[in-house]
Amino acid sequence: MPRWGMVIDLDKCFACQSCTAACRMENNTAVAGPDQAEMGRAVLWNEVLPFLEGEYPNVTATLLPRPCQHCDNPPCIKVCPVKATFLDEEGIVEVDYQRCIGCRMCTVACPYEIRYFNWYAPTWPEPLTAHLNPDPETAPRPAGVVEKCSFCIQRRRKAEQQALVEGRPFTATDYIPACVQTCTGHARYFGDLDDPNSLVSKLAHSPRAMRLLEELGTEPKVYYLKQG
Amino acid sequence: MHPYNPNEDLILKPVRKVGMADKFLWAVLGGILLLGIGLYIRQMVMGLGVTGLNRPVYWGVYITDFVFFIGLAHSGTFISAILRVAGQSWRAPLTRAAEAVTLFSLPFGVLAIITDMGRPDRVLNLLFYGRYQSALLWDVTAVGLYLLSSIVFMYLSLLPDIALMRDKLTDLPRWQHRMYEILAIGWQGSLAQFHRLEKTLDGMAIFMTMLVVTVHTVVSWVFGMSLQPGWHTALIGPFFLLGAILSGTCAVVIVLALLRKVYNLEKVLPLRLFNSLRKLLITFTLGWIYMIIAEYLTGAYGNTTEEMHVINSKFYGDFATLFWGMILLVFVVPLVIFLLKGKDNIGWMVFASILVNIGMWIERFIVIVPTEAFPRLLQHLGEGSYLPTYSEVIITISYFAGMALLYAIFTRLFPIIPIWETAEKTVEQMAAEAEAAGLAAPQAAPTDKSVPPVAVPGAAD
Amino acid sequence: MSLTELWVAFYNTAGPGGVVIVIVLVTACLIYWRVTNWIINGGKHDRPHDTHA
Repeated sequence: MPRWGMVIDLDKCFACQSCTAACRMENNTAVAGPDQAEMGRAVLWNEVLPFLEGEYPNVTATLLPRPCQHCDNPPCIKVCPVKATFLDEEGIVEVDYQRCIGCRMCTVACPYEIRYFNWYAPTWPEPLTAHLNPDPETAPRPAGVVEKCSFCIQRRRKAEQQALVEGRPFTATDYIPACVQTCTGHARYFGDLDDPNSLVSKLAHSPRAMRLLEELGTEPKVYYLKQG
Repeated sequence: MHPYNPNEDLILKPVRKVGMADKFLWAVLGGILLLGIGLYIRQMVMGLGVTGLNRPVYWGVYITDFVFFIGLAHSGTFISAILRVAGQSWRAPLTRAAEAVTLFSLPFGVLAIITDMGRPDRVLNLLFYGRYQSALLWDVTAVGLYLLSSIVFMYLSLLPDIALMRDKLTDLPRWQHRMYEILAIGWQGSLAQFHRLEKTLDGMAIFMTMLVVTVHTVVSWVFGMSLQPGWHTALIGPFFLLGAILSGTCAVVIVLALLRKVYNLEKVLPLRLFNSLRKLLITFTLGWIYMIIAEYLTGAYGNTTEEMHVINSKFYGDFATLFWGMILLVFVVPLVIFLLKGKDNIGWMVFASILVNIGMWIERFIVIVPTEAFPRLLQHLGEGSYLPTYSEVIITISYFAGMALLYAIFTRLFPIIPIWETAEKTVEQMAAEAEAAGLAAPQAAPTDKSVPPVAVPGAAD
Repeated sequence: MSLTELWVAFYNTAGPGGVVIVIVLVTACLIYWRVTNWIINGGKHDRPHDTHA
């Protein structure tokens, strides 16, 4: 059973945000619009966060793409009263949109603030409605439920089905999320952390590797390779 | 048999007469409640986007209301149960009025939580798919049990008085008299029944005391069980509990003063009751500031980055006005009033109690929102602000209107002062007297129709 | 299944929480019903002159 993880090389990332755009197109996240985004209601499963330290001209900028960290010890699944969010056997923290009651306890429990809520029924500006992903697993979520990055779980399903059809075993390199596929700088890697020969596994053990908020003990499976 | 209470007629007077003023009041309160319901329906149709909630402030006014109303509910149980267990018999006239505060604030606490849900149509998922690992499930169990127990406790305490009304108030509308007949079940006021009732109330009082501690601690653990700075503190349980008892007791002071004025109950609610409550409130206010000092001194001394972001926002940042306003409203001003002006002065006591309750609502808000506004990762980005919309404000006001409406109707259907608990002579004493006087049966038998009902000037409506 | 496994299964499976809520509330209802009956039946076995004339 693979344990899915991601590595993001901050030296290669130049914050073009194609990953954010690709994620939206792949997963049909709603467009909040400028007013709602101003209020803090933009839904960005993958978000590039700017961390700036110091004063000009001695500024250090870290631009950090932040998907769901898919923790191995997630604080969010502990608090869900109805098991609408849970850790599956392959390490992906999933959300069951049919069961979520919208209490938003998971959203306040996540220390990374990666969870989003559908404040209204989703809408898109006209041109985008023609480009919605037709996959039923990425169907637009109704108002009142929580959603978040799923490591493009629909692609895993499609890859598994493809392998079945082609009569070959499913391997961990058969599927990658949209953000990894799109990354312009080839900064993102995805694969099975439990396979010592996989690229993600080797990179995760690199001396440059670090994780966000490690001291909390959440055991996130998204590793960052430090700059420099 | 009914215990002898010379103030019986005085206490029953509000039940006998419902006037135009009442109907006007009910209409106004009902109107506000309907407005709230209308806005809630709008929210259900459009989505929670009609509130000011956002990322990262996912919980705001509605959750504040939830904690606040559950806190108010602790007043009744404190006075009727905890003081009963402590043997404080001076509390007897207050018990029903306080229990009624509990009974009518709890449902609005529950409504507040349902108002906050994104998918209230899926509320039954809590039963079908409930996970006990979640603090929300502990909440549902505790609050549900508390509501059920409060209803039963109130009903059992009401039984002798319902029977009294069934027997003595024969000039009321048919439906009302029939209601008392049904509700009185088999109560005859015998010695054994009273004895068993007292025993049951003693037992329930102990149970309710344990429930009070459990319920508000569990409510606080919805926050305490997360990892967020400002929430993840061991003190949050006792802190919320004391706050609830403080705000609840102040609510009781306000309600009692109102009832005393409106229904002319000076005789049965004498000044010394308010003086006793005053002493309790001084203790609770001091206890509250102790908790605040313990909480913020510990946090500030530790000086961790994430804690200090939240604490600084309260001390001199975005939430400073609210925070220091809270300290003034809950502690400084009321304590001065309680100490210097509150003795023998109901007016000042009510004013201070109102300030405390406004302050306590702010306190719940101050616990919830600043922590959400400064999540760890986003602290540098300066994110997090929250401005409630008119929907949230009006729906909150409608909760208060609903509670007041239910309370007002209740005082017209049942005596708000327990007649049997404030009686001069208990049934036991009357039976002993009758036996001593050598009579075969005690006087004023309840089903003795030859005793005419006491005449009241002005018919019941 | 060991006790630990049972405990983990209880906490991680959806459903049992709802069962606990129902059990708690239904048990409370039953107890209150019995107690109320016990109170009301307090007059039935007393000597005649203690009840109403």
